Amino acid sequence: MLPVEVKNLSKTYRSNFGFPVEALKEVSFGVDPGEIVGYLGPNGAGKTTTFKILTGLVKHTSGEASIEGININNYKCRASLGYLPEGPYFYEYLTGEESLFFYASLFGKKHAEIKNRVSFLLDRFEISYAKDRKLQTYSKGMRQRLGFAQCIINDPQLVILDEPMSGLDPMGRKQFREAILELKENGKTVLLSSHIMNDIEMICSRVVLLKSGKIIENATIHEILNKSELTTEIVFKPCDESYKNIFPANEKIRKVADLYSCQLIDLSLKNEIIGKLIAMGHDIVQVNQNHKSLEEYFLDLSKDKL
Amino acid sequence: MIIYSIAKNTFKETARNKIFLVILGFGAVGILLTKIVAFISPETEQKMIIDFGLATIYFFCTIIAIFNGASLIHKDLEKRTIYTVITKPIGRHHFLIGKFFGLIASISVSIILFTIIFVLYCHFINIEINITFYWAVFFIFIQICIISSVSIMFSLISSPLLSATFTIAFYMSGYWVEGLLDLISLIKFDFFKQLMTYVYYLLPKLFYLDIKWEASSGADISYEKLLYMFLHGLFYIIFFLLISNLLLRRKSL
Repeated sequence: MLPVEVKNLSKTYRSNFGFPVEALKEVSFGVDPGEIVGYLGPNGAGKTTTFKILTGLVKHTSGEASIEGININNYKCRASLGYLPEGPYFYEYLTGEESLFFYASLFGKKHAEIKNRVSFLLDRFEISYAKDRKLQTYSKGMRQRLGFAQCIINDPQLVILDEPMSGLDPMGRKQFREAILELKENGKTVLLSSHIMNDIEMICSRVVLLKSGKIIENATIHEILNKSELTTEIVFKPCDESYKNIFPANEKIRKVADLYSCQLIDLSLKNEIIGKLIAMGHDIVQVNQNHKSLEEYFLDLSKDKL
Repeated sequence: MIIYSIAKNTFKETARNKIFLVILGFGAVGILLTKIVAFISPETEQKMIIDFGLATIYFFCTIIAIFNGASLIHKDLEKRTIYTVITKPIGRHHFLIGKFFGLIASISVSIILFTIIFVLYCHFINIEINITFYWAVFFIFIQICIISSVSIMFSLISSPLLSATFTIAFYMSGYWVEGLLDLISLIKFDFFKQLMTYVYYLLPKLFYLDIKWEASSGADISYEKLLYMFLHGLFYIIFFLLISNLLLRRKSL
């Protein structure tokens, strides 16, 4: 029994003029217990639609999906689910503490049962100082933290996060990354979408790439980075302008302070170029062999499989 | 428990809304001004005061029901607050019923408050109130429950302004429907006759639940009739809530 299992899930919307718009096309994937999976894709790829189907906000057209073995058509499957929508919206007239009590009560919990949990989450997300303030006075970062707190109020086995780090400052992003990793340490499963590939690379064990409603890649971060092309970066300090004739025209040279660097795509030229640079009296500072980053891989794949 | 939580939250939403408090204030002042109306006809002062008192309660509670009901669920959809609620282990029917009861709770508070003010005022100016008055208040409550369920239904398919307009039209037709039977008897085409008959049965007969005249004139009403009136109101409340549930279940959020 997987925390999330999706089989041939499709969703077709009707446009304003009645034309069918396929948002998801027979999407299938599963998430293993304790995994953090990045659900990625460009805007309009169908990420939020998948999340909305899994959380019961939207009905799917065909296929099936289950959460902790319970079909998503049964609302009780959401008892073990936590969901943070993109840019969460709250009841502005409630205070932070009242909001958490309200969300907890939707799991059938009584006030006394959840008092400690609410208090723990308010402290964990550093909003306890504002717990008696109405949400209309909360900043974006505070709302996002409250959103995370409501998402795990029921201590769920599966957490779905839709763009959890969008609009957060670096400190806020770091806190969120730590909170997500903490969930993994506690044996929870996380499925998240994000456009910030660095974050995905840092916290996810696997990614599912989506393009125009179809899955185009489902692999571990390790597999992706290993199969991506190697590049060689040569960093040097030039003695004159002669270095310009050494590099092929398609290789871009970047200047950083008084150093120059070039990311060589054609690896066969590496030794020849380094030899020429030394022979002409340029100072080689560093030679690095790099894999493409997840972001570069994602961009290439998005372009390729149009 | 879940329905109670949603209802409680909805009640808080209404109670913390300044417009609601302003309407309550106007209603209270309106009730205290009923004595002025009695100057029009001093011979029937008691009847006039009770009649206008009930009308004031009805008017202000209807305003609360229409304007809160018309925006209640629409606001959740528009502001996407529903995303963090429906994604919990609750059915959409829980959400709908919770919202409805929350609205009804705020209306109940208003009616009770207005009634207490009016009864105290009557006591103060030596106006005698009979049991039919309390039945009239109860059936004002039932009528407002129907209006609330209708406004919630419209709020699922249109904007708050349109929903309020449709609900007002619906409310008025609930009183005019009495004359529809006469109209039906004049129609010559069978198809239209049949259609209008369906419309007649579809519309709640609000006029039938209106016993303000009996209350002000001190007339008695049999328990059989009161029971029948109650069942009539209950049927339409459930009917419109079922339609609302169907609409909400089909909705992509």
